[in-house]
Parts: sequence; structure tokens; C-alpha cells
Amino acid sequence: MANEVAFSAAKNNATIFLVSGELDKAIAAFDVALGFAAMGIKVDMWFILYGINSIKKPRGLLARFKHLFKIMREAPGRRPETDILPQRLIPFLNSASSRSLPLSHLNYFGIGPLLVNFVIRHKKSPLLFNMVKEAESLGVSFKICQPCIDILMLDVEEELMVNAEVHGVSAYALDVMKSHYNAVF
Amino acid sequence: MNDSDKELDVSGMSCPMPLIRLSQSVAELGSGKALKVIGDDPVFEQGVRDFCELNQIEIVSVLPLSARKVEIVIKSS
Repeated sequence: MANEVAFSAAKNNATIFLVSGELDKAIAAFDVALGFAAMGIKVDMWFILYGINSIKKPRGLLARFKHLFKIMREAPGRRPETDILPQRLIPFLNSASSRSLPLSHLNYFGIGPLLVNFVIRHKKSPLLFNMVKEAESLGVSFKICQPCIDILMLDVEEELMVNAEVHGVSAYALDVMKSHYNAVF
Repeated sequence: MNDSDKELDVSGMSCPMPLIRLSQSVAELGSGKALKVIGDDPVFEQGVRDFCELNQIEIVSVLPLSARKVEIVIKSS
């Protein structure tokens, strides 16, 4: 019986699409992804725009200034030759990471997430940071939209805490067409 | 070499524009005709392959022209 369940689950796919860069939606998305992956379902997580912040490495207070003067190198999905100067303000200002996402409500300039994370830790639930690592160990695949990488000037190999692939919308269409569950957060 | 009936250049365009232009060109293409697509988007080749997989279109040849530029010939069924 157990084998039968594992066998039937292995054929199922789920796609989770994270657009929002807010802590509550990221927790919901990773909660669903971890639960599905634990049930033996193949989960593909897609990240676009600020959703990418939830899998970014934490960075120090002064690290954002590095992005103003950084020499852009060839990275997966990047086209450094098409970059323009004002674009550097985006990585400079977009400094949230998996440890420091804001809440959509009750943020109060960063005090809200501290309170929520304190309560989560007290209840022995995983923090977002731990959830991302758990998801990677459970075999969830992380995929990022290529135009977003180009716009946000993101270095996939350096700035992310997980191994992520860079794809276009066509790969998302194929993933969704073969999956049984698709959620957009 | 003239091995295609129609040519489509989507160089400089970014995802999803190459896919949209490709879809329009394939819709105008008659059956059994070949189409040559040239693009330099980082996900261009993957996009054409996915498009052909989903719509059962045959890929005749894939030829890298430079570091990023790729020339793909597809044939509609």
C-alpha cells in the first residue's frame, strides 16, 4: 500500500509561482512547497521580481553600496552589454533577503517581522531561511525568470542561497501544463 | 544557403517577445514549410525548443552564430 502511494505521488507535479517579496506570502508559498515535496510530489518553484528576494543571501549594511560600483560580469541569464547606469539603483535599493523580508501588514518599519519571527521561533516552526534550505534538501527545483534577472541585475551564482536555474516563460508554460497544481503567491 | 522558406530575426528582443513573434510567424507559415529564426536572448534557444515540443514542430538544425546568437531552422508539420 505504501509503495502504491509513493508510486502514484511520483507522477504528480506541482508548480508554485512567487511574485510577492513579502514575508507572509513567502512563508505561505514555502509552506505549501515543503508540504507537497514531503508528500512525494515533484515541486517546481518559480520566482519573479521581488519573489527572488526570498531566496537571496542576507547581506550586510554596507554591502548595498558595492552594487553601485560593481563590474557586471557574465552570469546565467544576464546581458551586461544592455545595462544602463540608473539601473544600478535597483540592486542598491532592493536589499531585502530571506532573513529580512517585510510584512504586507503590521510591518511598522521592520518591527513587525521581528515580532513574527520571534513568535515563529518560540512555536518551533521553521523560519523562512530554514524553509528554503529544507526545500532544497527535499529536491524542490528553483527556477527564475530571465528578464527579471536582467532587470534586477542579479548574479544567480553569487547572490542566491540555493542553486537556481534561469528559464523563460516557455519553460513555465511546459511546467504548468504537466503539473496538477499551480499556485501564484 | 537557402534552406528555409521564411526568415525571422528577433535579435535584440527579450523574453517573451521572441516567442510571440515566432508564434505569429508559424501561424502564417504553410504546412511543410521551413522557417529560420535568429535570436540572441539568453533563453531564446530553450524557448524555441519548448515551443516546438508543445506544438509538435520539428527542429531541423541549431547553429550558434556567435557567443549568444543562435540560428534555428524549424519545419512545420
